[in-house]
Amino acid sequence: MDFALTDEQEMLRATARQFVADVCPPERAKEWDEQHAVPRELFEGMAELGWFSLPFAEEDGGDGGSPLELILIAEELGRASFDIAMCYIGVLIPGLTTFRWGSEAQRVFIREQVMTGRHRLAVAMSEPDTGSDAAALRTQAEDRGDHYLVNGQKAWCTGGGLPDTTIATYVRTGPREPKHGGISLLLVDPKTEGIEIRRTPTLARHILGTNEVFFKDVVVPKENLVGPQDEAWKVMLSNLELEKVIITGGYLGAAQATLDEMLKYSQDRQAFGRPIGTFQSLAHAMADLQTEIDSARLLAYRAAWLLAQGKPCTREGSMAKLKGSETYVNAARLGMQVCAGQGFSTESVMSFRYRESIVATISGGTSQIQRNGIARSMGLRTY
Amino acid sequence: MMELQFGAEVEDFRDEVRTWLAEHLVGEFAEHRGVGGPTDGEAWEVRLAWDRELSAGGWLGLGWPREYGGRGLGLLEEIVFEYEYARSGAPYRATGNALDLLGPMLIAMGSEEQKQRFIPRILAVEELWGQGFSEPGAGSDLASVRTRAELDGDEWVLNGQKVWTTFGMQADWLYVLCRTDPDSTRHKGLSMLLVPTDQPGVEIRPIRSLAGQDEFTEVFFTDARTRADLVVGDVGQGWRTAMGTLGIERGATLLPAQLAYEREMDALLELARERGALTDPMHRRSLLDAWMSVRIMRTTNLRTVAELLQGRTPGAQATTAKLYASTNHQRMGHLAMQIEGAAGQIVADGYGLDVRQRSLLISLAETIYGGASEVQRNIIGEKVLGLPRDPKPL
Ligand SMILES: Cc1cc2nc3c(=O)[nH]c(=O)nc-3n(C[C@H](O)[C@H](O)[C@H](O)COP(=O)(O)OP(=O)(O)OC[C@H]3O[C@@H](n4cnc5c(N)ncnc54)[C@H](O)[C@@H]3O)c2cc1C
Ligand SMILES: Cc1cc2nc3c(=O)[nH]c(=O)nc-3n(C[C@H](O)[C@H](O)[C@H](O)COP(=O)(O)OP(=O)(O)OC[C@H]3O[C@@H](n4cnc5c(N)ncnc54)[C@H](O)[C@@H]3O)c2cc1C
Repeated sequence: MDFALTDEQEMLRATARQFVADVCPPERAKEWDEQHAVPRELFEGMAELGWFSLPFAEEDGGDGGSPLELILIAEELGRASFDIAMCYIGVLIPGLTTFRWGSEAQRVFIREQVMTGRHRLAVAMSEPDTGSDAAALRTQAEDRGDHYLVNGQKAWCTGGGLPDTTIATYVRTGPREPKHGGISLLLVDPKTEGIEIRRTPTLARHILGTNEVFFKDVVVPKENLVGPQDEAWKVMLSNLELEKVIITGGYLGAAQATLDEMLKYSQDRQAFGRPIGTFQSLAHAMADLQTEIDSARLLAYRAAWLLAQGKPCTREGSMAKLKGSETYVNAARLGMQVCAGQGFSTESVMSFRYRESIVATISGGTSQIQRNGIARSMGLRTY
Repeated sequence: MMELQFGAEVEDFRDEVRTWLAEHLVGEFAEHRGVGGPTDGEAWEVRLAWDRELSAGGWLGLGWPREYGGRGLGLLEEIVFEYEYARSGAPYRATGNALDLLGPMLIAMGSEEQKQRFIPRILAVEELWGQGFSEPGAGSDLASVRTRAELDGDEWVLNGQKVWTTFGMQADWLYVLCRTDPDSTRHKGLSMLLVPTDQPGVEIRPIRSLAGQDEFTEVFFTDARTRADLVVGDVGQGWRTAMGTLGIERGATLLPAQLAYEREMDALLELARERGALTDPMHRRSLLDAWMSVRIMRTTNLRTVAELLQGRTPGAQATTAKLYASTNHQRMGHLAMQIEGAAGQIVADGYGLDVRQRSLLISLAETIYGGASEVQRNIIGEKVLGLPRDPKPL
């Protein structure tokens, strides 16, 4: 066993850390969140560093980057804010999926447009009535010969409202039963007639922004189908583990930054003539938190290693997502306690961290769904 | 929800309260059932109007002496009133700070003239009050207060800064803990001054809080002035006065707080039922834990109320109640969010929070103000368990 990063990985991490310091330090991420702003320099900067093509094979125009390297980037971006990490992950994952299953023309599109950062992808899977039970989705795509006619409604399409974005939309092309059959993946241009996008006002995550997408008799050319018709459940699952693992990187970065910030505050802030960090009740709580973060990190790195070996990691990926997201929530809650009045003011980065953290155990598969997956891998079927 | 009987001797009084509430909690007031809290400024104007309605009905300061406009009733009547009030869902009183903290402090420690001057105007909802204790460098460690006041003829001149002053923007007056002996340290040399806010030397700026409101403020004193006789308690004895307010046994507010938790618990169970979360073993366990914690709070609060009514000093359970309630309330808020799923994230335009979101965010402050959880544990450790004291200040 070897826990060391290679020199290249150390360098990648240093570059990413510098990127965050230069382009999106937490205070700036907080401002963007408050202004609901998506700065160009963020996506351009990530593209320039080659991050959008990193995991693709060299012959496909990428760098053959491993899952661990993607985690390292996500961790550093997560230090700025989890939303910032999602600006990267949210584009990367549908890009990988489309490239893997897509037609030659779609591959060219990914290679020329998405890997270069000129264009983005967003995912529309969830619907108002189908979240955890994603396969129950109802948005209908009717086969009309050379095109599909799409009708229905999507919810929580994160980043789908940004310019230069294509929405990877999961639709029903076959019967409702069995629910995992009959689903297809379409690349949809949100400017197509019949599509309306409404921003959902939320507690947090305002940088990318999340949206409802309404489809009314929307014509989608057949060539926009990704992978085999009716088999998109398989398509979606093909990158689910990787997604969970990289997202965990985002949680880890956010949790670690939250801890680092409260630690610094606890060393500076004085009460009763001493730094508050020297009170054992806070010191031990922070020690526990660092232990939790390291546990989550080891779970994520192990899952990344399994993925790199081409081994299954359904259980390990779920464990990482579960632990990572729960740890981020705990970190932010403790941060609010340590920073006390200061934290409760929206001027503090801590209040921003807390606001962002609340939903970590829901988006990307809830904690309960992760637990169900883990239990199933142990031979237990919960009801 | 908890149903209580208070005995025959207060039946008439209870009927009177119920009837009055039924007749007056109507229209706009009724539309604001359950709105507001000690640090929650929602629907301020409506709540203020409601306080005036209560005042006109003679329902403020029930236990306060008659000579200052109170009703001179006993603790039992106060408890009955607050219980019925909470059951009716009437809005949280905007004047809570003056009614729960400043008024009792003045009655216990104020001069005759101060009582004559201030109490009737509190009861008439003519003057609003804010608490100016915390400073940028003095929170849990309140004895580090640095705001100074010096006598200049027959006036105090104040310089310094306060922070986290709730409802500072609305306050006409502040009760301010400040250092009147420049050579003193820590608990000595402090005084409690009553300071009018409408003057050039007082600047109050809003601070936006996590719960999305401007009820938080910071207060700057630059040669602010107040009359020399507006000191509560003796000059140099401000610490005693301050501890007096913090130590006031708010027996009458225990049951309303309990009812609020029980309502929230009922709503949480209802939400879980709607969302089908009752079939998830993890949610079921958390819901059970939450329900049990609310029942434990009930037992604790009833026990304390009973002891107070019997004229006894409340037992150790009263000391643990704040820590227990605030911690569990926070857990409840997170559980509600988890059960609601992504939908719990949606706000109305302009960061408009719903009841659940507001309750969760405000619960984050409940483990901080009124003695942070860590400080509560120190108190329990020292006062209840008799453990050695926390290390003395360096
Ligand atoms: C900020 C944010 C961004 C998002 N971005 C996207 C996006 O880009 N694209 C997209 O398609 N979707 C997105 N989503 C949607 C996300 O995938 C769903 O919110 C998530 O799958 C949970 O679904 P739900 O919110 O409908 O909760 P529900 O499924 O309604 O769950 C409610 C509660 O019940 C529990 N529960 C449900 N089923 C079970 C079960 N079988 N066993 C035990 N407990 C259960 C859940 O754990 C949860 O606590 C986003 C959500 C958020 C909040
Ligand atoms: C919503 C809200 C409303 C408020 N309203 C008012 C108001 O109207 N008027 C007013 O004067 N103040 C008000 N306050 C301020 C409140 O009283 C202080 O926030 C509180 O006393 C804590 O002080 P602090 O924020 O400076 O935190 P600090 O005292 O700096 O505490 C920071 C952390 O250190 C811990 N800590 C401190 N001492 C110890 C110790 N001895 N052992 C272990 N841990 C310790 C604390 O528990 C906390 O976790 C309000 C605060 C909030 C959040």
